[in-house]
Order: sequence, then structure tokens, then C-alpha cells
Amino acid sequence: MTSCKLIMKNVGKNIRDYLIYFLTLMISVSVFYAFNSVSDQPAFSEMGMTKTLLYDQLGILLSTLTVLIAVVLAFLIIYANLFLLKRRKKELGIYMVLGMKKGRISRIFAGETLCVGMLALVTGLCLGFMLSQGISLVALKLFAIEISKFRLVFSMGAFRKTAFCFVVIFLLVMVFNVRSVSSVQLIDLFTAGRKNEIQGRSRFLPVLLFLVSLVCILSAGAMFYKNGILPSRENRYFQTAGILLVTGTFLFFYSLSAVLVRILRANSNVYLKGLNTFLVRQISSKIRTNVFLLTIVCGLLTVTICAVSVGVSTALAMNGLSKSATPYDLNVLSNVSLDGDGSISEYLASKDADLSGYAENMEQISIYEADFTYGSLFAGQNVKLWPIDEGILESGVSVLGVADFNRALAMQGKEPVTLAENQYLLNCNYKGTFQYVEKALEDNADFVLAGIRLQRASDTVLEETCFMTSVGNNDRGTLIVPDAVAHSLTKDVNVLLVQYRPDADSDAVLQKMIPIGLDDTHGYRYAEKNMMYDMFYGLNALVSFLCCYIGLIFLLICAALLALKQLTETTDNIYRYGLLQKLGAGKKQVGRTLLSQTAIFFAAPLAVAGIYSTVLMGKAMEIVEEFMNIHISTNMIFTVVIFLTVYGSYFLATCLSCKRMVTEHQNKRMEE
Amino acid sequence: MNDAILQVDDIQKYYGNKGSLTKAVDHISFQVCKGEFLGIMGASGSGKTTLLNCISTIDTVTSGHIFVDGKDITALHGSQLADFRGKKLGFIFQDFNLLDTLSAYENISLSLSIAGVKPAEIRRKVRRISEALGICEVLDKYPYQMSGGQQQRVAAARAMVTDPTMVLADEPTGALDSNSSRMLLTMLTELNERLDATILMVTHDAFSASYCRRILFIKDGKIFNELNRGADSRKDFFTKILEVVSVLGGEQNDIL
Repeated sequence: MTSCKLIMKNVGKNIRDYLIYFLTLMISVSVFYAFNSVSDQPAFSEMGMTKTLLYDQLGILLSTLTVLIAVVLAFLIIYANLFLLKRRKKELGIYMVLGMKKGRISRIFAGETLCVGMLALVTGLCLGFMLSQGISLVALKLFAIEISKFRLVFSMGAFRKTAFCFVVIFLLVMVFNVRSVSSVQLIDLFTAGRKNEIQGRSRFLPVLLFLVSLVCILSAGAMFYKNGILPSRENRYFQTAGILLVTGTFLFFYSLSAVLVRILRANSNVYLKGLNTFLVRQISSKIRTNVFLLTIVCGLLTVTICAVSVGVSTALAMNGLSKSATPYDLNVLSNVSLDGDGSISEYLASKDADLSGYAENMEQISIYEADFTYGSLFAGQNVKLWPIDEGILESGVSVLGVADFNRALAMQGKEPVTLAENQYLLNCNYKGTFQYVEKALEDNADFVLAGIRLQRASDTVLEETCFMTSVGNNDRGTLIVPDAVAHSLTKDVNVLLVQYRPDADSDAVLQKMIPIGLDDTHGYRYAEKNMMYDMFYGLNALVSFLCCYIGLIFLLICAALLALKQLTETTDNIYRYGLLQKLGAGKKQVGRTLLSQTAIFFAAPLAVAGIYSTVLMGKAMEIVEEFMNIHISTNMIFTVVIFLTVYGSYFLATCLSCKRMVTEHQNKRMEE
Repeated sequence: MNDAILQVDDIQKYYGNKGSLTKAVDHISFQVCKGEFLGIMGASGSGKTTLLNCISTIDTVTSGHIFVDGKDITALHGSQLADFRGKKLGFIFQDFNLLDTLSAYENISLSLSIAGVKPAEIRRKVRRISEALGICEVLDKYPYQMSGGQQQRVAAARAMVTDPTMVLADEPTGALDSNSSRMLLTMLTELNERLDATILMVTHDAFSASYCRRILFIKDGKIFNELNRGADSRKDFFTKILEVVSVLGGEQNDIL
């Protein structure tokens, strides 16, 4: 019999036994391919300038991330493989006892790796090809490109990248295999069946450690809550909090089992019921033995939950915002105190940016600042603004003359409003302040502005868009007053509202506007519709895309690690289940024990990670909000779905395999 | 004795560190001649398995030498060791240690193909040994489809098929019922007598030991006694063994 035949036989058996290992390899390959192939979607070549720029950015970020992910995956695969090798020590021993040379044994194991690897690579690429089409569709939607431009493509670049990375990983695995085969001692192979599990002896130390761990975790949480999660020079607590958190988590898992056993043993009704004694002991030794693994998995899960939730929430917030709020193609704002009160279009024309060739409609309106602040407008209310809006309470309320307001409405093709001499209206289209503006209108039947008492003209708040600043950041509440009243106030900004002709080239306008926006000596700012769309869709796409990529990979790694560990431990403990059945435990009872063990093993790190995430995610969200200058409401649905599918299916697969192993073993025994 | 194929020369095997030193094998020397069926008896923990592991190169000695066919095997390394195990030794373990991915036939033929024997020769040899051990009907079965007795006979066939200088058996009947044990021991005796195979068997069971021609008794890592069967019948030899065992202390209760 040749080595080849032996390799084929072993591969056949291993794929059946270590299905989870094979599945993990396959899924890693497919996810790797799918994300790398997105940049080859031809539909992306039809994007605007800003979007192309961001899209190139995505390409660069993805390839950097790819290297990182490849390294992480390499570690996972090598770890899993060494782990499986350890389990085959006895087989290795038999080969050696029969006089097989180490070189040949190494070749057999390397051959097996090669076969399994190639099989995983091929199936993974097929799966990845299908997956990539789905991901491309999602990416197109994120970048707001028409789906009709989508085409089915096989990306050679991604294929080469995937094949290269995984071939390197498999080669590394082979090297590790050969090394561990050639360094084994034969005598160890026959005692390899004995598996050391750590059992605690001390009675009070675990309780003490448990308390210490709780203190560590809580103080770390408090530090993060107070100082934020960004490492910076001012935030010296960051390192301390980080170390405390890791130590705390480690100690928590380390002492958890002992504390659990103590509590349960105190209650003999529970402890002595059914197989609970066995179950509790089994779980406690499992947690204790795998404390490192659990800590790592817990950390990775926290990152995953935060990344996916933040990414998806941002994407959803962006999509909701940019659908509305852009009735104009271009707005140019000038700061009156800096630039004087003049015609903006004339200034632009003098700066080689004459818009008359592009514009169909142009209007200039003026925003005034009232002699009282938003804080006094909302007086008497329990105001809880989103963090990014807290500054407005100290700034003066915006005021718009009714004539300007009607001109803006006319541009949008809307009916004008009418206002008597001593009347006012309130306009607001910002979700963050709307309820307070509404209440303010209700509370203030009249008030004094610039020495004139104004009555409210309507009970309802108008929701028009007078001008655009940025997609998310719109009218937080503007008073519409008679022109005479407005003119007696300080003029704050002039705004030029522009609507393009149908044939206007927006990229050309943008080119002319860029130097004007960059000029620091003047206060001119501009907001262009296409650029805003592209910017926000692009940023949005970038953030959510990367978050999901990282999240998915990390989740995969966690689930695979837990599943492999649980499976191999079940194999190690299989005689215990046989013993239980000999002692009269029914198949169902044993099945339940297995299920609870797997469930707790999977749930323990997830529960801890969930708690961490709630604190950290809030902080991460604040950073994104500040950066994007929008409010994001947390959306967990997508995260939950991803977790249910990936984590859940690994959990199920593990349960079923464990059960199969135990019953098969039992049947085998019966036949004998 | 000049035709000694195994010569154990004053070997020692220590475990542990200075604080708690265990002398598993303590200055043991003996010889085995070609065609002998030697038993090594002793209570659990007496060091008999360690002794066998040292002879089989599974474990290394702390001091002393072991010569097989005049060659010092304690000086072998790497591929020389593999060659030695493949060509000179055959192993039978208590728990069979068959590869369960392979059928019985493949398990037996594996040790031949490792040694590089030609396919035609492999077929001939496997058939011959299977006939001798009465396992022709199970050759296509996989280990988990066979009874314990059948598995152990396949393991014995695997050990014998390469015509090794010595067959080392570590409690070969330990996992078998009395009927299968008797069958296996009878076959080992036949192989020993008909094919002139040299067999070294470690056991704690007086019944199994009674099939041997000569028995070494080990206690606390030292040779305690030696029994030769001579012209005795197996039954008489069994009685003699029991006498030694009762002097040895230990497991006589199991036997009564």
C-alpha cells in the first residue's frame, strides 16, 4: 500500500470527523475571496469623481486589511491544525512502532494537509464566487449605484490573492506539521491519552479572585465611560483601563467555575438532581482549562459586536438622511461678519466661478440672528439633546424674513406662506430638536423679538428646507418673521441657492468651487448636492463595509475555535459518557447534558462580550457621530441576524457532531 | 549461550527528579535465545512494561545496554531506529492499536509496505500468516466490525508478517475474554513452535504466563525469580507459577 492511498483514506476520515475544521477553512476562503473581489465589479467604473476617490480609498483599506486578516486566519488555521495533530498522536505512534521513518510520516501528514487544503480552496472559491455576487450587490447599493449596471464577474485579482494567501498558509501548516512530527518522543505517544484538566483545590482563593475580577472590570468600565475609548495623550487612563479589563476578564473566567460550583453545591436540590453533578463539574473544568481561549474569544466577540453594530447603524442613519433634504443643487454660504454683505454670485463671478452658465434658478437669502438663544426658546422644557447638538443652547436662534422664505419655497415649486405684521412661524426639519421646537411653539403664543411682540400664526411647525448645510445637519429651528422685524436684527449669513440647468456638468462646477471653499481669508462655504451624496454614500459604504468584513471574520474565528475545542474535548471525554450510560443514564439525559455543556461554553464568552459591548458601543457611536456630525440611532437587528446565522450554525453543528460521536461510540461498544 | 538474539546488559530506568526518584528498572540483565517464548511477570507497577518499552525502543534507558543480534540498540538514532523497529520487531499491544481507517488486510500489509516489500510478495505473506492465525474471513473488515479476539489476532498477524527477530507482546490478553485469550495464546505457541518465532510476552496473569517456556519474575524493578518449564505439562507449570506468585505477594487473590 502506498503513502498515497493512506493519505486518501486519512483525508476521508478526517473530513468526516473534523467537518468543522474543513467548514471553517472553506468559509474563510470564500469570505476572503468575496470581499477582495468587490473592487473588480465593472459597475463601479461609472461613478462620479468624489465617489471614485473614496472607492480607491476602499481598495487601499481593503488590501491593508487583507494582510491583517490573512495573518489572523493563518494563526487560526495553524492553531486548529496543531490541535488536530495532537489528537492523532496515537496513530502517529503506531506508524513509528511499525518502523515508518519520520520523513515518510511527515510526508503523509503534509499530503493530508495539501489534500484537505486544496479541497477547501476549490470549494471555498466556488462558494466565494456566489457570495461575492451578493456582496457586490450590497456594495452597489451602499455606493448608490444603479443595480442594472451589475454584472456577474469572476475576479482574477481576488482569485490570485486568495489562492496566494491560502497556499502560503497551507505551506506554513505543513512546515509546522513536519516540525511537530519530527520532534515527538515515542513514549509520549502512548501516554497521550491521559489528558490533564485543571482542577482547583483552594476554597477561598477563587471567591477572592472573582471579587477582584469584578472590581477590575467595573473600574475599567467606569474609566472608559468617563474618558472615552480613544487612546490619546490626554486620555492617560486608556492603557490602565485596557489592562484592567483584560486582567479582569481573565480572572473572571478563571474563578467563575469555582464560584459556580460553590453556589450550586450549596443548593443540593439542584446539584444532586439528574446528571447535574456531572454537568456542573464538566462545565467548571472546561471553563477552567480553557480560560485563555475564552478570554480571547470574549475580546474578539466584543470587537465584532461593536464593529458590526456601529457600521450598520451608520449606514442606516445615512441612508435615511440623504433621501430627504436636498432640494437644491448648490448652496454657497458667506459669513457676513467676514465677507461683508454683498452679492455672492458677483463675488463668485469675480473669482472665475460664474454660475450663470450653469444655473437655471438662483436666489440669495439672508439668515439673521435673534436677540435670544435656543436655550431661552426651550425654557421650561426638560431638554435632552443629542450630544452633538448641545452647543446650540448658547447660540442665537436663526431668523428668516418671510420674503426670503417664500422665494426659497418658490424655487422648490411650493406655495408661499402669508404672515401678518405682528405674526411669526416656526420652521424645523431636524429630528434632534423637532419635539422641543414643537413644544416651544405650543408654549409661546407670543414673544418679544427686537422690541416687537409677535403672535404665532399657526399651531403647527413647518418642515421646509430653506437651505442645505450638510446632509444630516439641517434646520434645527428657524423663526419666520415679517421682513421689517428681520431687518432690524444682525445679519449672520447670506446664502445663495442654486438649481442647475438639466444639462449642467456638476463636476465642472465643483472644480471651480474647490479653491473658493479652501480660501481661509474668506468665510465662503459651499454644499453641492452630488458631492454630498457621494461623500456620504461613500463614507457610509466605507465604514459599514469594513466593519462588516472585520466582524464576519472575527465571528468566524471565535465560533470555529469554540467548536473545535468543544468537539475535541467531547472525544477526549467519550468514555465518561459511556460510563454514564452504563450507570443507567438514558440517551436523552446524556444528550441534554451535552447540549447544556455546549450551550454554556458558547454562551459564556458571548454574554460577557455583550455586556462589554453595550458600554463600548455607546462610546464608539459618540465618536462616529462627532466625526460625521450626524445623530445615529443604534440598530442591533443586523448584528443579531449575523450572530444567529454564523454563531448559531456553528453551535448547532457542534451539538449535532458531539451527539453523533457519543451515540456512535456507544453503538460500537454494543456491537462488541 | 552463543545464539542469544537479545542481550539485556545491566539496564536502569529512572523516573522523576532528585526529590522523588522512581527506579522503574533497577540493574536488570538477561538473555533471550532464538525461538524462545519468554514471559515477564510481575504485579502492576513492578516495572515490567517499562522494561519492555526499553527493549522495544519506545522508551530510552537511563544506563546500560541492550543488544539485539549483536547490535547495541541504545545507540540507535532517527531513521536507524525506525528501520530497526520495522525489520527486527513486531508489536502486540493490550488495546490492539489497529488503524481504524484501514481494513484488516491493509493493517497487516502496511508493515510490509513500510519495509518496501514487493506487492506480489505482500499478498503471499499476508495470506500465509492469515491462514496460520485463522483470520482469512475477516480480512476485508474494518477494526470496529471485528470482535476483540479477531482484532488481537489481526494485530498478531501484523506483528508476525515481517518475520521479525522478536515479537514483543504487552499484556496481549488483557482486553480479551478467556476463550479468545486461550485461542490467541495457543496460536502464539504454534507460531513459536512451527515458525520458530521468538516471543517476549509481558503479563500479570498466571494463566497466560503458563503458555511460555520460561518466565522472569520482576519485583520493584529487579529480577526476583526465574522459572523454566522444561518437560512439565502446562498444568504443572501453571501450579509452579502460582507458587512463585504467592511468594511474590501481590495478586494471588486474583487467581484464587
